[in-house]
Amino acid sequence: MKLWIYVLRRLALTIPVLLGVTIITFCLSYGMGDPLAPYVTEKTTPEQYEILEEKLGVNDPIQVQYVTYLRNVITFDWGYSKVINQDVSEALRDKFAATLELSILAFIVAVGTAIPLGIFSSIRQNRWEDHSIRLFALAGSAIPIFWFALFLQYFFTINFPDWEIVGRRDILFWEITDPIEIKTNFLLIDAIAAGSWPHFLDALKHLILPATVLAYGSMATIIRLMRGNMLDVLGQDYIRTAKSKGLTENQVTYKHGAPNAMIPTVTLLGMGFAGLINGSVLTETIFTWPGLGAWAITAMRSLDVSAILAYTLFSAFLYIIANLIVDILYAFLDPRVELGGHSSIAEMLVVSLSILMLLVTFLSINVAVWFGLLILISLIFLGSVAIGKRLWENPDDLWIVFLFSGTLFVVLSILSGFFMTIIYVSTFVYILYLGYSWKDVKEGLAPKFDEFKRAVYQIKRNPLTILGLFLVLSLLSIAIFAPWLAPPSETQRDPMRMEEHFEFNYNHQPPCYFSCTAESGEEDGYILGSTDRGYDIYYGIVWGSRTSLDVAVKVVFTGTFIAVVIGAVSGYYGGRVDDIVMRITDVFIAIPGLVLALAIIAVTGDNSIEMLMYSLIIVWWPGFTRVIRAEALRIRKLPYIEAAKAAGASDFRIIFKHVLPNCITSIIVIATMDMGGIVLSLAALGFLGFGGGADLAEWGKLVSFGQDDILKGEWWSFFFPGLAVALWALGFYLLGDGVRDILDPKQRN
Amino acid sequence: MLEIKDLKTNFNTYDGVVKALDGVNLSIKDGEIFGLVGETGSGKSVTAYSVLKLLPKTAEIVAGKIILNGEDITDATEDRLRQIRGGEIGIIFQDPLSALNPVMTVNEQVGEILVLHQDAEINKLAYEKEIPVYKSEKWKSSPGVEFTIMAICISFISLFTMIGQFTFGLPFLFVIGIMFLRDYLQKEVPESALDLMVIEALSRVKLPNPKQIASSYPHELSGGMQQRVMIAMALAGKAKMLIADEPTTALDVTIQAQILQLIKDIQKEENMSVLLITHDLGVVAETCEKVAVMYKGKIVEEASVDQIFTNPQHEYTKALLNAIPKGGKERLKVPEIGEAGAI
Amino acid sequence: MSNKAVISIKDLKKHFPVKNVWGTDIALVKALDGVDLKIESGKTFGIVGESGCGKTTLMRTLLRLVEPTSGSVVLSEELTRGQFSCNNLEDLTSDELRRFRRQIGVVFQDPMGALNPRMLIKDIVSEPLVIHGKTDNTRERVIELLKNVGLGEEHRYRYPHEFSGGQRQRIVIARALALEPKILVLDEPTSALDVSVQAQILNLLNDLQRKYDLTYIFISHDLSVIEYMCDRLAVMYLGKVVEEADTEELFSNPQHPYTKALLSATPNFEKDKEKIMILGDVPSPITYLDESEVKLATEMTDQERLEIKAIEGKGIDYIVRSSLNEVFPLKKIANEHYARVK
Repeated sequence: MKLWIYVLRRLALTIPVLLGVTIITFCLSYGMGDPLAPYVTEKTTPEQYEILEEKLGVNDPIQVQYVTYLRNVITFDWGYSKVINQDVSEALRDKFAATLELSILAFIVAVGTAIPLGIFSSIRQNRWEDHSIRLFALAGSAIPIFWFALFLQYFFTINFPDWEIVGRRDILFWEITDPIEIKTNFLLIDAIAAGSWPHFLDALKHLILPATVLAYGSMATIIRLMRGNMLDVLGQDYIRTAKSKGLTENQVTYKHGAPNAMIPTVTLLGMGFAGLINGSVLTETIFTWPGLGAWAITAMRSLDVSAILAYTLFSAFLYIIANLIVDILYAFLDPRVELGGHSSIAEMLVVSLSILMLLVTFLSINVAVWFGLLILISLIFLGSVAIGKRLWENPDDLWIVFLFSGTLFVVLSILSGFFMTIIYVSTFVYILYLGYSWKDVKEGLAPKFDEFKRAVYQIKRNPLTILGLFLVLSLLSIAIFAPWLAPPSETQRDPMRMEEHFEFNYNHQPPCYFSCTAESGEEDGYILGSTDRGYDIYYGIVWGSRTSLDVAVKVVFTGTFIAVVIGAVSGYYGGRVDDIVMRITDVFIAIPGLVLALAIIAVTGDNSIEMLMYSLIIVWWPGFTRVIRAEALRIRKLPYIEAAKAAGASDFRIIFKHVLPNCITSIIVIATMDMGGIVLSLAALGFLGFGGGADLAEWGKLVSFGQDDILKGEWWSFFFPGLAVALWALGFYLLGDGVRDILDPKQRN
Repeated sequence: MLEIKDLKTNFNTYDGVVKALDGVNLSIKDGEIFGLVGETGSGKSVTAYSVLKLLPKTAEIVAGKIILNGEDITDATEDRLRQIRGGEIGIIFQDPLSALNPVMTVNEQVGEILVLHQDAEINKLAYEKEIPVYKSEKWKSSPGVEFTIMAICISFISLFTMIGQFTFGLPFLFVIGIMFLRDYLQKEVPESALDLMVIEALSRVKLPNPKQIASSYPHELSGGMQQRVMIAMALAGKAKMLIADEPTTALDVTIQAQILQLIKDIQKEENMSVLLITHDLGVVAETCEKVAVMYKGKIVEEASVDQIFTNPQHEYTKALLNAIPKGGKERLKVPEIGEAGAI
Repeated sequence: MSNKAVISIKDLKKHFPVKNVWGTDIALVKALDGVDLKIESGKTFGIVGESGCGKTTLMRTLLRLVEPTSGSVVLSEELTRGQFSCNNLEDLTSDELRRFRRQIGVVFQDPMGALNPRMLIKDIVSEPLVIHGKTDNTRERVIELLKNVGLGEEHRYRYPHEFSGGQRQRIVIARALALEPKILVLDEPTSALDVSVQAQILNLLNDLQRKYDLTYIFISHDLSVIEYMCDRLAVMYLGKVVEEADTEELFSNPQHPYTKALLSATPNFEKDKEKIMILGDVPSPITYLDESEVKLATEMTDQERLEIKAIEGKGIDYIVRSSLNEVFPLKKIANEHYARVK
C-alpha cells in the first residue's frame, strides 16, 4: 500500500515540473520572431493580417498569451509547422514512432552489452581485460557521435556499396514492389505483423548503423557506472559474509553483488535516456532518419517556431516520464527506500495549485489568467516576506545576498573578458600574501611536499593518466602556439576566419602530410587536405583549438562558480531553500541539453559564439549544481561541522572553510571532465551549423563541411577535425579520472 | 578441533609488506570456548579470516599449517574450502547491519546456506510432508521484473495518450489489471521445506515471530535481532565450530549480554567449539574458558581465564589489565606514549 | 558538601514530531522527557544509557545546537560572570550565545569525523580563537595547547589522517580547551579507542581537570569508564533520568531495575556478581498520539516470553523491558541518591 502511495506522490510531483517546462518554452517563444510567419505569404492582405493577429492573440497581454499557450498544450493543439506543412500534433505522431523505434533498439543494445561488460570489468580489476574495457568505454564517451556516424557511413560506402546508409527503408520495396500495410509505424513490428521476413530484414538493415551510433555513447557511460558501482559493492561486508557461507565466486558476484550494484545504476539510466534524445538529433540528421530529431533541426535552421517549441516540450515530457519510471523502479528495487516520509506543506501546495491551474485553463482562459496572476503575486509576496523576516531576525545572513550579487558580478566579468584581469590581480595579491607570511609558509611546505610526491607516484602508476596529461598539454600548446604553428596570411584581419586565409583556394585537396611540395594555399600544399571550399584543414584545426579552449574555459569556470555557490548554500541549508533550488534545477534538467541549447540559439536568432556560450552555461549548470549540493548535504552531517557550530562559527565560515574545501575533489574532477564535455557539445552545435559564422575556425564546423564528401570517398575533411575533438575529450576525461584517483582518500592505503 | 601452527600472513600495501600474522600458534578443543584478545592491529581478525581463506586479494598466507579435525586444510582446494565454510565452521561478524545483504530477505539469506549444506535434509523433509522443496508455488516473481512490466505498460499508455491514440494503450491496461488481481487470485499454497527449515533455524536463536522475521529485510530489524539472524545463518549448516569476530562490539550493552548468553546456550546445547575474538577482556572473562592474548601478529600469552586474570605473566598482558579502568580514581598504569600508527 | 551547581537543568524536554504522508503529526519522539540535573563545579558528572535514551540529545540541547521544546538550563554566576542579560540559556541573545560558547568545549566520539580532513592541525586548534577574535599570539597558544595534550610543535603542519586515533582525540581535546572553557562536554570520548589508548586519554583528562579546575560532563555507555572517571552520575532511559547518585553509592546500592541490569550486563571479571538480564529489544522513545495505539504497553511481548523460557532454570534473574515502561516519580533513596522506583 505504501508503495502505491509513493508512486502516486511521485506522479503528482511531475505536474509542477511539466508546468515549469511550459513556462520556459513559452518564454522562449515570447522572445521569438514573428508568430505569424507560418501562416503568412506575400499575398496576405492587411485585413487578413489583422484577423490573424486577432486570432493568434498577438496583441493580448503576456499573461493571456501564456494561458492560451498552456491551453493549447493541454488540448494538443501545438500549432502548425511550416517546414513540413503539417499540424504539429500530426507530425509528432508520424515521426515519433521512427525515433522511438531507433531509441528503444539502441537502449536495449546499450544496456544489454554495457551491464555485463561493466560487471566483468570490475571482476578483473586492473588486469588487461579491465584496462581495455575501460579504454573502450572512455573512447565511447570521448568520440563525438556525429563523427562516429560519419565514419561508419564512410566505411560502409567504401566497403559495402550496396548497403543503404540513409533512411528507414527501401521506399521502392516497401511502397511499390511489395507493399505491406504500415499500422503502427514501428517498421519491425509492422513487418512481423505482415509476416514478411524480407521486410523485417530490410528495416533491420537500416536500423543497425544508426542504432550502433546511438548505443555506443550510452554504453560507455553505463559501463563506467556499472564498474564503479560493482567495485564499491564488492568491498562491502555482506560480500564477505556471502563468501563465508560457502558460495562460489560467481554466486557471490552475481547473486549478491550485481543486484546491489544495479540499484544506483538504474537511477542514472534516466540520464542515459536523455543522452539518447540528444544523440538522436545528430544521428537522425546524418542518416536522414525521418524522426523527431531531424525535423527539429530543420525547424531550427528555418526558425519554425511552433515546431521548435513543440519538440522541446515533447522531449522534456519524454524525459520526465523516463525519470519518473526510474524513480519508481528504484523504490521497487531497493527495500531500504523510505516510502513513508511526509509531504511538506509547500510540496502539497505546489502540486495542488498546478493541478488546479491546469483544470482552470482547460475550462476558461480568462479565469485562468486571474488565477495564474494571483498565484504568481502571492508566491512573490510570500517569498519576499519570508526572506525579509529571515534577514530581520538574522542580519548576519545578509552575506548571502552579497554572495549572490558577487557571483553575478564574477559571472559577467568572466564572460565579458574582464576575467583575465581578475586572474592577474588575484595572482598578484596571492604572491604578496605568500611573501608576508613566508615563515609560516616554509614550515607548511613539508607535508605539502609529501602529498605532491604521493600524487606523482600515483600518476606514474597509471599509464592512462599519463596519456591524458600528455594529450591535454599537447592540445593546450597547440592553442597557445597557434600563430607560429599555422601563421595567418598577411592580409588576414581575423585569424579565426578561415575564408580570409588565402586569396586563391584549392578545394578538395588530399592531405600531403609531411611531404608537401608547395605552400599552403597552393596545389599540393595542404598538410591535412582542404575542404570543399578550399579551407585549409590543418589551419582550421590549429586555430580551432583556440576556439575550443576559449569556450571551454569560460563555460566551465562560470558554470563551476554558479554551481559551487548555489549548490553549497542549497545543500548546507536544506529545507525550503533547498527544495526551491531543486525544483528549479529539475525543470532545467528536464529539457535534454543539446535540445535546450539549440532552442535558445534558434529562438534568440543570435548565432554568435557568445550566445552559444551562454546557452551552454544554461544547459550545464544544473547538473553540476546537483552534485555539489549532494556533497554539501553529506558533509553537513559530519561531526566536525557540529564541532565548528559548537565553537560558535558563523554559517558563512562553515560553508567556506569547512564545506567547500571538502567538496574540492568533486569540483576539480567534474570541472576537468567538463572541459572535455563542453567541447563535445560545442562541436555538435558547430556541426549543425550553429555558433559563429560559417567560416569560424571550429572543429565541428569543419566536420560538417566534409559530410557530403564522404560519398566521393574523400575522408580527410571529416576525419581530422573530428579526431581533434575526440582527442581533446579523451585527454580531459583521462585526466579527470586520474585526478579523481589521486585525490580520493580511499586510495591512500 | 582446530589447530593453527606457526601461521604467517602478509599484506601487500602501498607502504610495503605488513606482517599481519607473524607465527601464530593456537589450539582449540572440541566443545571449548576459546577467547582471542588483542587491540587494533594485533591480527586477531586476520587469524580467523586466514583459517577460512576470506582474506582480501592483497593478503597471502606465507607459512604455517591449519589443521581441522586432523585434516590439513592449509592448501585445501576451493571446493573443500567451500564445504568447510558454513558446513563445518560458521562465522559471524562485527556489524550485523552491514554484514547482511540489504536487498535480500532474511529467508533468502538463511535459505542460501541451508541449500548449500543441508540439501539432503531439505529434500527429506519435503518428501515426508509432501510439500514443495525450495519454493512454494505461489507466483512470486522478483520485484524488478514485476516493476519493469508495469513501467513499460505505464509508459506506453502515456505515450499513446500523448499522441492521441489511446486505443493502442488498452492491452497494456489489461496487463496492469491482471497484475493487480494476481495476489487476489492466488490461493493459499503450502510453504516449502526450505521455508520450514529457515523458520526452525530462526527459532533456535530465540527469535519470536520467525515467520515475520523471515520475510523481513535486514534494515527492518533491530541490532540485536540482526545479530541473532547472523548466528542462525552461521549455524544453519550444522557447523561444529563458530568463529565470532567481535560479535557484540556494535551492540548496546544489555543486548550484548543477551547475545553472549545466547552463544553460551547454543554452545552447550550443541557441544560446539567457539572462537570468540574481542578486544574486551571483560567479555572474555564472562564467556570463555581459555584465552590467548595477541600482540603484533603473535600470541604472547595463553592460559585459562582464571589464570590470566589472577596471574598474568607477559608484560603486554599485564599492561592490558592495568589499562582497564576500575573504581577509585587511581592513575591507570600505562606508558604515556606508544600507539599503533602514531607519529 | 555540594559546591554551587555550575549548570542546573530543569525539566528539560525535547520532542521531535513524526509526520505522516499528509503532513499531520502522528507521533512524538520524546527524546528528552523531563530531565532535572545539577552539575557541580570542578567535578565530573556522568550520564549513562544505551541508544535512544536521550543522552546525545541532552548534550546537544546543552550546547544549544538544538532548541529544547520546554524546560530551562540555568547558568551559574561563575559562568555568566555578570556579562549576560539573564541566567537562562534559552533566553540569551544570539550575540550572548556566541560569547557563551567560549565557556563550553566539546569532545566528540569519533576522532576521525571530528577533524576537518582538509585543515592543518594548527588551523583546527586555532579555529575557536579565530572565531572569537582572540588572535594575538596564536602561534604560541597553539603550541602550548598541543603540548598540554602531549603532542609536539612539529605536529602543527600535518593533516588529521596522518595521526592515529588516540592522537586525533588529543587534538580534539586541545581544540576544545582553546578558549579556556569552564566546562567540557565529552560524548563517548574513548569508545572508538583501544583499551591502552583509552587509558592514556583518561589519564590525560584527569590531569587536565586538576590543572585547570574543569567541570566535566561525561557521557558514555561503558560503566567501567564511568565508574573510573565520574564523581556523580545519572542513568537515563527513554528520555528520563531513572536513577541519580554519587558513583560509589550507585555502584554499591543500585535501586532501579534498569540500573541493576546495566551493571550486570557490563562484562568484567567479578565472577560472583548479581546476574540480571534484560529481555527484549532496546525500545525507541516514540509515543503515538492516537490513544488506541499506545505502543509503550506494559504487557510482555512475544519476544520477551520466548527469552524468558530460554533462561529458565539458569539461575539468572531477569527484567522484562515492557515492565520498565511504567514510569514512577523520583524517590529519594539516600543522601543525594534518587531513583524512579515504587
